[in-house]
Amino acid sequence: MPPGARGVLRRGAALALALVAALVCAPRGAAAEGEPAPKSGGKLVIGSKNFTESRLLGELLTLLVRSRTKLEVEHKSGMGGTLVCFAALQGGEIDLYPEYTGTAWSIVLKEPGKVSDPLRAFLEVQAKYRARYGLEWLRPFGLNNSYALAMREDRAAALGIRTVSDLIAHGGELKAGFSIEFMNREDGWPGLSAAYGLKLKDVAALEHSLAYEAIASGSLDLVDAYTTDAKLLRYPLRVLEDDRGFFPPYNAAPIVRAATLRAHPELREVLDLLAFRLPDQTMTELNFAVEEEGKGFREVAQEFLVREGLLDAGVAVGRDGTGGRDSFATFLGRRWKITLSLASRHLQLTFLAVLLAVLVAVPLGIGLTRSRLGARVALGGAGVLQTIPSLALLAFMIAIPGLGLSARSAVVALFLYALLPILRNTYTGMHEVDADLLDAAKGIGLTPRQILFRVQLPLATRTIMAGVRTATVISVGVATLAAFIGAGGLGEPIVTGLYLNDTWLILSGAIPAALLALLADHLLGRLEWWLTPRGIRGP
Amino acid sequence: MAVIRLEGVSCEFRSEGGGSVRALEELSLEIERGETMALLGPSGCGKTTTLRLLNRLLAPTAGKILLNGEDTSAIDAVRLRRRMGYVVQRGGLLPHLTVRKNVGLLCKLEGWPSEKIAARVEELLELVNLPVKEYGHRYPRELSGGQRQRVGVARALALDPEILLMDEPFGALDPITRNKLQQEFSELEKLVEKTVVIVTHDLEEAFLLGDRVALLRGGRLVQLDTPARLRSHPADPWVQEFLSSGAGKAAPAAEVG
Repeated sequence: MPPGARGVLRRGAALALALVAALVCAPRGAAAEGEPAPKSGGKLVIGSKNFTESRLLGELLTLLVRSRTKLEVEHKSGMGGTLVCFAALQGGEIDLYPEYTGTAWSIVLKEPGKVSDPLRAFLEVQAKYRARYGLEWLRPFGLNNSYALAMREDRAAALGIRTVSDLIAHGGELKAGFSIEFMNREDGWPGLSAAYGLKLKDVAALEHSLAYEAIASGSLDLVDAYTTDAKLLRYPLRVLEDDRGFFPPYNAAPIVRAATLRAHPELREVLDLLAFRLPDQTMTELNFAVEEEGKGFREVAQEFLVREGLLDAGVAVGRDGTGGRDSFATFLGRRWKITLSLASRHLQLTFLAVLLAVLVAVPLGIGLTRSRLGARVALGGAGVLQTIPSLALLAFMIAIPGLGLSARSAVVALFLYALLPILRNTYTGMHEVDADLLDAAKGIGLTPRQILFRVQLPLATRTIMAGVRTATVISVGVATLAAFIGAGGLGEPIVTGLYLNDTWLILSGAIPAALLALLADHLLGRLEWWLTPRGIRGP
Repeated sequence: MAVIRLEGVSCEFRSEGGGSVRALEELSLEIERGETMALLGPSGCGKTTTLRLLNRLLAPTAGKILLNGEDTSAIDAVRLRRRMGYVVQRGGLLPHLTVRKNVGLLCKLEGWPSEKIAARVEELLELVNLPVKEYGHRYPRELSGGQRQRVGVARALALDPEILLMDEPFGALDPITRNKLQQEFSELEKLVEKTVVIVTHDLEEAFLLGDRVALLRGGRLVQLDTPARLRSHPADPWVQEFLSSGAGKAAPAAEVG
């Protein structure tokens, strides 16, 4: 965040938060209750979410704990979204991870309404987590990664705009481009425009990463931003002060299992070392170092800790496993094992879905040859399913009881997609069989069943298999979207890569997915050839 | 006693306009054991309809058909068809099966042991001059039109049926092959001593193969006689004209009815 952009109010609130947090988070006596804690040894697992800032915070905590305790520390970097991290923490799979007060309030606690005061928000979240989950919020890092409005620096300077309130007078001249999420969240544009009575000339919804380019080129005046967004340093932007305190606070702090703190009482002191050392500006710079300068997470974390005097410059912290930029080939080489397991997961999803689709669509397609109306209805229905955008179809599945955020949803969605090509080709293949030939088969004394299994099906095999092949290739592609609903597969690095703006990570999923599609096509082509009776095969 | 007896058989089709078309009107006919009956006539005369009624690919709207005195509508259609060999234009072979398997198909469906099937196939292919060693492994697309038709005849004889139904069997062949096959078949006919019903629009074919010829026109039987009697005693001027025009030579090979 550019200097001077933050208001006095915010500074005051941050200070107050610092003071009170120092009190409430202070260790409550050395003679803590609970099981006796081993003073040395043991293992600590730190988690982080799948975006740059969370992974950086996780790495900072990891380096600190590793250099200052005897604990063996593992960092599960970029595990997934909020719910994945929270579930892992509750289940004891990880001991701690960095979380945001606003996120905890609305996504985990699912509390209605909003708390604008950062301190109150922190205290309420802390109390509720302690009571409900046995999880402790430690002292916050100091950053508030909330929404903000950002404006082109030159335009803001020319119009003399410093705060959101200043926009009201110029609303008629300004064009805004907001992310789709911001456009639709109550704590985004709808709430903001109501709270300030703000109206703008033109508000468009667009992909966040494109908005920055648009504002840099001058086709937009105003975008939504995160207050610690690395892009704020890349583009000449002025962050407007939220002078009415509309945006809910998203203060970040480590949350730790109470049991872990009891087992390792020395931990709290170490984790608190980062308290209030990472104000928005600092965090933004660290994010910038990773996202825009292409440095590794560990490298950036280590440099920061050394600069802050929290880590000796000479300490060896081990190899960076989280994104150091050697070469793409080395990067892929390092990931081959995980890529292999993702690919196998991907194949499982695809194979299961296509298998189910074959079991349903082939008999159905055969049955449809007996009813012209039925054929029209069923093929039309499957065609409609096919036109539903894949993400939307996946989203529908989430809403169905018993499916939800799971691989089951992905399989059902893929199954629905696979239906049409198989159904259509089965129907066509059955119809293509020469009517005179069927007549001859009947005339020489074949039963309807024998005609189906000995004449129609063998002759339709090639066409049916071509449908299965199409369905499989489509499914391999669509299955990459399954990662959006947590079903895993090769979409996982793609989705994470999109979050992190990490092209290599995206490619590490996209290239294997493409190869898988080609391989599936080739192998099914062979199978098709092999299954096609020799008398009607091509050369 | 007649092997096949048609008693006042009519057959109507629903036409596309919603009305009905009479393809056959009160046809009565007796086919004697061992004879070859040619059903002859121009397009739409009802000759193919008659043949398809015999093996119940069609059902009569009136009248009945007796096989050895038994009403065919009381016989299971599949059983009935396996008692009547069926040869169609272009052979009607299953393209995904080899010659051997095409010929042996019905034997297999009847549950014959494989050695018996192999022996029967070899015998039949020998009969139609296609040695099994050379042709048994081929697929229909690897055969000429005439060869396919011979395989079709062999297949029709597989279960040694008492009756052979042939629907324009040589219609799609070139004239040279057609003549050759007609000659061959005429010899084969004497050899196997089957009752044969052959549908044709080709006068020469009817006269060459038929012991008797049933001449049909517009769904009615116009004249039923030996070729010699047809020539010497045409029943009416239309028959005379039909015979003298060399009918059928120029007529389209494929037709309905």
